[in-house]
Amino acid sequence: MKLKHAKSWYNRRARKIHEHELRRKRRRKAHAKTGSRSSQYSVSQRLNENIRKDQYSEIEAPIDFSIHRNAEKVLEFYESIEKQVQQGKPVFFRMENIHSFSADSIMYFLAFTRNLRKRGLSYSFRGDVPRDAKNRNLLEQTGFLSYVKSKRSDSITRSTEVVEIKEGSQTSGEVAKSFCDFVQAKLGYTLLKTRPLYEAIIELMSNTKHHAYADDNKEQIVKHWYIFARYEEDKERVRFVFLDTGFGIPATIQVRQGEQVRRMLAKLGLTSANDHFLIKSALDGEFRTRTRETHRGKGLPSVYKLSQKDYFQNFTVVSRKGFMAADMNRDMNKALNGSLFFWEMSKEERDNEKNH
Amino acid sequence: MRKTISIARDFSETPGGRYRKDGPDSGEEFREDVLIPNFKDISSGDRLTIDLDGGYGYPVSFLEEAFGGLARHYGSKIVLERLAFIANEEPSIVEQIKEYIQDAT
Repeated sequence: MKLKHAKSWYNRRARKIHEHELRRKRRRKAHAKTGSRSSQYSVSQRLNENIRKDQYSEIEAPIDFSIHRNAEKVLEFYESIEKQVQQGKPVFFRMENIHSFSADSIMYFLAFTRNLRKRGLSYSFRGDVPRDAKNRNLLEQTGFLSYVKSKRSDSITRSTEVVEIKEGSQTSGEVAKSFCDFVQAKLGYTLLKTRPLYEAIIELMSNTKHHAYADDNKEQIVKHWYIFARYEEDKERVRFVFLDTGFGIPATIQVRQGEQVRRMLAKLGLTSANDHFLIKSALDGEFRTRTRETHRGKGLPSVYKLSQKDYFQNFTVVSRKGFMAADMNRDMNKALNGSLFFWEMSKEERDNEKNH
Repeated sequence: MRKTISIARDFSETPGGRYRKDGPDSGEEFREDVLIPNFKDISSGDRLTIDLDGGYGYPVSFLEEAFGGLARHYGSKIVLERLAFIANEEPSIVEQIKEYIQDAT
C-alpha cells in the first residue's frame, strides 16, 4: 500500500516537472520572436498594468536617434508618442533598428515622461533596445535602464567612460564638480583649466531656474535640468549634453516690437518663427532679460563666449524651432520643448592658451 | 586693519548661482552671510581682501550678485575703495568683478 502511494506520487511529480519544462520552452520561443525579455523595459503611470502585448501601438524610433543631429525626426517621434498618450493608448518604442544614437534623445524621453506625469496624463510605455552592440552599450551607459523597469538594470556594470545622466532643479556645485573631475581624469586638464566648464554648467543650471520656465508654470512643466558626458577615447574628447524642457530661449526672452509681429505671423503660418535669430541674439548678450534688470542676463553669453574661444567645440543650441550651431543657423519645422546645449572638449585644445 | 576672506576656504569650493532659492552656496548667501558682516566693520582707509584662489570656479551670476549686490547696497565708490583682491591663479577675474561693482545699478 505504501509502495503504491509512493509510485503515484512520483508519477504526479514527474508530470509536473515535464509540464513546467514545456511551459518554459514555450515562453522562450515567444521571447525569441518578440526580442529577448531581458532586452526590454517598461515604464508606466496609472494605466492599467495588465495590458496585453498586442494592445501596444508600436512606434519606430528614427535610425539616427539624436536631437542635435536629427532634431526634426526625433521630435516627430515624440510628437507621435504624445498623440497616442492623449488617446490613452499604450506605446511600444521600437529602438532595435537604431544605427546611431546620442544621449540627448534619452534625456528628452526622461523629461517627456516627467512632464506627462505632471500634466496628470496616464501612460504605459514598453520598448526594446538597439540591436547594434555599440548603441546598446551607450543606452545602458546613460543610466537609462535605472529609470525604467528592466531585468537588465541590475546586471549592468557602471561605465567609467561616462558621467551618467544627472538631473536636478537647483544649481548644484557638486554635480558641476563631478563633471570637472571627469574632464581632469580623462583629458588631463588641471583644476584651473576646468574652471570655465564649472562656471558654464552652473550658469546653464541657473538659466533653467530663472528663464526656462514661466513664473506661473501654467503649463505644468517639471522644472528640471539634465546633464550627461561621455569620453571618446579614439578622438580624445568629452561630449556634453545639457537639457531643460522649459519654454525655450525664444519664448522666455524679451522680444522687441517687430519680433512680436513676426511671432504672431509665424503662428498663422505666414512666416518662419526666426527662433534661431532670437537664440543668437540672447547668446550674444543683447539686452534680452525679461526681468529688465541690467545686471541680469549675463549667464548665457558667458557660456557662448567659451565656444567662441574654442574652449568648447561644436557648440550647438536647439531651442523651440531654433537650431544654432557653428556652421549652421536655421529654423526647424518642429519645436523642441525646452533648450538643448551640446558641446565637446578635447585634449587637443587643452594646452591652447588662447581659449583660457 | 587688513582682513582676508578666502572664498574657497571660508565659504565654499563650489560656489553656486545667484540667489539662495537657486541652490546652495549662492552669491546672495555669500554676500549676506560672509561679505557684509566683514565689510561693515571696515572703516575708511582700511581694506577687506578677497582671496579668489582655490575652488572649482566663479560663475558670473555668483560674482555679480555677491559684489554687484554689495555695490548696490553700499555704493560702487565705497566698495571699490574698501575691497582688495588676490587672484594669482586667474588674474583676469579681478577686472571682471570691478566691472560688476562699477556697473551695479
